[in-house]
Amino acid sequence: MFSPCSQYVGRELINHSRLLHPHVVQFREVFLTETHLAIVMEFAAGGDMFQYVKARGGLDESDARWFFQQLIIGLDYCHRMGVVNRDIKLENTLLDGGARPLLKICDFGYSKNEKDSLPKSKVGTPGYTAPEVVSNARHYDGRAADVWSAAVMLYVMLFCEYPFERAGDAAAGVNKFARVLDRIQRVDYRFPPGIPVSEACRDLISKVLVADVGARLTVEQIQAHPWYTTDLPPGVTSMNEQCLALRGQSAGSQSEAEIQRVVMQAIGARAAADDDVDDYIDEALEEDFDE
Amino acid sequence: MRVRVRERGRERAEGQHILSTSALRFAELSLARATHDPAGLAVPMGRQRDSGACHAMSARNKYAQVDRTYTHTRSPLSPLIKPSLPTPSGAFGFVILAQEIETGEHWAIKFLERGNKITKVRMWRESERERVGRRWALSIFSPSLSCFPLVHSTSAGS
Repeated sequence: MFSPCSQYVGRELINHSRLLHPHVVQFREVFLTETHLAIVMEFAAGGDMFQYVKARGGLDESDARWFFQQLIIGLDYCHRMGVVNRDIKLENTLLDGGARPLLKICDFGYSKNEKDSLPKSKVGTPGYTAPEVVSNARHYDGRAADVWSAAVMLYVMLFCEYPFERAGDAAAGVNKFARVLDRIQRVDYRFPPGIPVSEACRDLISKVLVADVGARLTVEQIQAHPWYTTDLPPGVTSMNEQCLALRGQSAGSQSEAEIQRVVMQAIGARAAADDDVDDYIDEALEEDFDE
Repeated sequence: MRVRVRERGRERAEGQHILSTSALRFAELSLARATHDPAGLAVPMGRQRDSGACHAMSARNKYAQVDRTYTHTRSPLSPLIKPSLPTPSGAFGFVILAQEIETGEHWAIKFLERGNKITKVRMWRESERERVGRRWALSIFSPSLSCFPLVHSTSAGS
């Protein structure tokens, strides 16, 4: 999670290497230096969305939609490839250098393949975290949590502020973090009155920011929502089918076994022992959360 | 006003164009890679050698550093949350902008320090910190390896 040269990196890289999509930063290869593990990725010349949105003080609705559409297309692809991102946020989405930039989902540091164990650890960035993740649900649907984060991202793009934070929070000292999490669980947010946003857009956000996972819109349902389908570039809906047809090919030049081998080499000989440690902590975590 | 609307319209049309050509270009690229096009961008370094050690080290000679200060994720949290949590991307290492010597193509290279770190302890610490009621956790854990037996005995005893 923080500077994790562990088998998590192996998982991250293997997940990443399976993804071949215009809206996913493409993995290329991984190699070693004496001191570092080096991961070669597509270069996104346009910086990240956080800077982009902040520099503009929020985006107008059509621009926000342009990026949100791309985000959803990218997410749909990742999910259909069995990879959940679990850390969707402005900072993890990069832009290419075009005049009307293309969005690229970038950080797979927390991503979990469906074939790995179900998502159960609390990862992600507080302001973007879904209620079921905050509340320590034993196993949550990583896809639904991604969709929640995507809606938070849309909110931030539009209003240039986080939905579950308040101006007064800074004065709350150590409790400010708990306050945010508490609001997330109560889905306590509102649309800033000063910034006009269409009814359809509010409708979409309010149908995704729903605590009940079963009632939350899915990626498919978002793609059918009138706000989303407005101005959707032609050909986009069939793009994911094309990309999915490439399934099984690695984005980079290395096989998964080679990636794993390089990562293991970077970790060093203690890797096997630490596997046991991880299992142990997993168990301890579960016991702990059951209390 | 009219001009502006037209400009916006044109901009969007251009954007659509970018999206579809990018998808095309991407598909071509992927196919070239899939068929091991020898003239393709991605010469499969690893496949030509069996020794992982050798190839893993030699691959770096392919790239030249262009910008050491390039970072793509930075200060990710709002001012509100920043002081209470380490920034997730802050400690991962660093990213450089590199150019492939042979092709001139630009790539971002993310560097992670080698050597294993017990990341789960950290993750646990983070989640514990989120749960305000569990103060004992904060007092017991230190990020170093040596705290590990404590994790063991405490959780077994509670």
